[in-house]
Amino acid sequence: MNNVISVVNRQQAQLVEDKWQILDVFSEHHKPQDVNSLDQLVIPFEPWLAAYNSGLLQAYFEDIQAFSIDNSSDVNELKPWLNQLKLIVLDFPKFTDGRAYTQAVELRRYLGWQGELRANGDVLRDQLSHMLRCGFDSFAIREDKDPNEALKGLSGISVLYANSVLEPQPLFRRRAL
Amino acid sequence: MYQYDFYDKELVNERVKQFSDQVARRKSGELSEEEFLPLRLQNGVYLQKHAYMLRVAIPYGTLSSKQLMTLADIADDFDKGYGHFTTRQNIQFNWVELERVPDILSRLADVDMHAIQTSGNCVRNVTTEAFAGVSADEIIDPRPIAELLRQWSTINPEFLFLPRKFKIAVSSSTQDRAAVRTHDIGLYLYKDARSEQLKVNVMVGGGLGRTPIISKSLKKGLPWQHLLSYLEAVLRVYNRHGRRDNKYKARIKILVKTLGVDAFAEEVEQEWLLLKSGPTELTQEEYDRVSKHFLTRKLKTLDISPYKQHYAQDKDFAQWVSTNTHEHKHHHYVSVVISTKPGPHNPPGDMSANQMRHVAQLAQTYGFSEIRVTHEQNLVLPDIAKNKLYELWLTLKEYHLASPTIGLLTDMITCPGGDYCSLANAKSIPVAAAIQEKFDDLDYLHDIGSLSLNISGCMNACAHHHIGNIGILGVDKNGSEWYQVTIGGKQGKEAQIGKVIGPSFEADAIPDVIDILTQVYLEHRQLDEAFSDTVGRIGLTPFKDKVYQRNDVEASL
Ligand code: SF4
Repeated sequence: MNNVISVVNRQQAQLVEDKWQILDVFSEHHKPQDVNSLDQLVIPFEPWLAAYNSGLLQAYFEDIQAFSIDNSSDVNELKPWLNQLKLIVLDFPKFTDGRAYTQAVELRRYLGWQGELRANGDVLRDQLSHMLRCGFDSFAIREDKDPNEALKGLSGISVLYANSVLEPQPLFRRRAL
Repeated sequence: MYQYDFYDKELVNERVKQFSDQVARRKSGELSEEEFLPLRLQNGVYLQKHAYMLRVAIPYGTLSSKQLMTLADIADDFDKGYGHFTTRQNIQFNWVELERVPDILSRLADVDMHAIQTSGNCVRNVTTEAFAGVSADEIIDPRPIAELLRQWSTINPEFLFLPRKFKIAVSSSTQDRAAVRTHDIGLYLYKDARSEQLKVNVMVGGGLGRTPIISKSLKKGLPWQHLLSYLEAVLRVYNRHGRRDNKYKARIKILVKTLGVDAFAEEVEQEWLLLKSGPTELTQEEYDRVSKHFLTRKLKTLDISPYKQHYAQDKDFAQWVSTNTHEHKHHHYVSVVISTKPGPHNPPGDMSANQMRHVAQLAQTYGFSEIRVTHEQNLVLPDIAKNKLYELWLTLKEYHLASPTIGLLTDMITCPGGDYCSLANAKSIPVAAAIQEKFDDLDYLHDIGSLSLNISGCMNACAHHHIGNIGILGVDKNGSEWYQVTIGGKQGKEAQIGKVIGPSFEADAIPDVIDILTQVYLEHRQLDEAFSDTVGRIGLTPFKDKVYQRNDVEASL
């Protein structure tokens, strides 16, 4: 994927060369031609699951390492595979569609997902700080935007009242009186 | 009043910087209008018919004199010398330039104010009633809870791009004056009879607009400590399942209706159990920190005999006292309501910069430098000593701020309508003016007594016409402006949606239609029966018959 910003240790953000490719069309029968192995491939979860459930899944596809999931899907369905995954990609079909914020919070807070969590789609500078706080740690900035500019969006506003994935204690528990 | 500390100040200051940068990037073309739109909305900036409008948050309708002075200055320096108070206790400036909005926001920040989340698909300004903390019928002061909610909902990152806007109202008095049941979430605070603990009855899914719905009970007896976690659960379920394909079906009321309130409550409950006793559980310490800003004032026992004398001798004063004051917890004090609807020349809710300054000054002289904004778009001086009341009244009269019409027919709630709003089907301000003109006889208004009249310029129902005793809605018929009339609505704990009386009317006919409706009411009213009760008892027919049999009322078919 291009234009990827990655945040390491919750603070150092940088533009990275990214190895992952999203498999646009998933077919349970065909091994994709242009990709060497599953350690570079992001598999769309819903068609994969359908194939898996119907027993049609090719053995090759059992060792997936990265899923992308629709923002209308229930992330709890990912549970059985979390241990083998390295990356989960959540989707912002439009930046005004905020469902993936909640998915991110669920993955981090309730499902204990520790691996990489990436925002993909209509991912723009002015929403990055919100995404970061909801637990995303990598961002595939929309292709027509300058990722170096987008980097500036990560800092956002330094004060936040509510708790978040990044800061589990709400301000009222940290406030110096 | 709540005083900002370092954190609160830092947040609004950083927000001003952030938004000025966003405005600059919009200007340079780096941000497209589409990308900029939600950013400006979440900073209160709308694009109206003729100009940008800025909606400034007045959290739970509470202002200091200093803040109101600042609003007056902004009205002079950035607008045409006036502002418009809204039904959600905010103020709007109708003629601002986008480039200058950061300057306005920075002036606001200087006095601990902001415009954050006064628009957009996020949690909006939390409202409560104007008499919070002082009303005789209050069970508990709702402002600490309202302030805790304001903080929790401000830039809460998970909930900034909800399916649609999300409004929360809080009430904690015998009478609900905050229109709680027409909000996405309504909170009734009360004290548990046995434990004396503060508890909350949570209502969900109220809202007007295209599909008016009165909210339903979601959770009873929630201990206040769990309020944030519970609301977080509600918002999470809503964010997950609320519709995004159709903006008219995106409010939480539609989700609740589709799932059924029980199924919705069940899902919220499951979600809540996961976070209930986590870090969002409110602490007594935090409640105390916030509530110490809202301490009840130490009010003195006064000699109120001069007040009684004036009351007995001056009929006009007595009339004003009966309509424009509200009973205070302390018998020697009252809350004074200042009408923004003195007559046809003044659009309801509008106030000039000079009038704002006068009010701010009066609050300083006669009160505790505090002013409230009511849901009915009026202003309140919450603690006025009765022995100063006469003097205050005389001064208010000088400034044309003593219209003795609070709660009466001419105390209408009116949206900006077609004069400003680009969504409008019809104008509402001229209709309000025509009604004011027709009903200029105070005695007749007092005969009719308490009656709410609400005028919205379109289905979005910003003036809450559905819950007005008489509601007027602007509709578009082949490009011309018509008005549909409903009767029998009411607000409060037993809120009710009015019923349409029949085909709609042209603007000219409206004052006469209202005249007839009030006549029928007076004919049938038993004792001091309220308008909506009379409608409930005798039904629509007597009203319809009278209204539509008249030839000079031109009803369309
Ligand atoms: S009710 Fe309609 S016309 Fe009136 S302010 Fe709201 S959107 Fe505009």
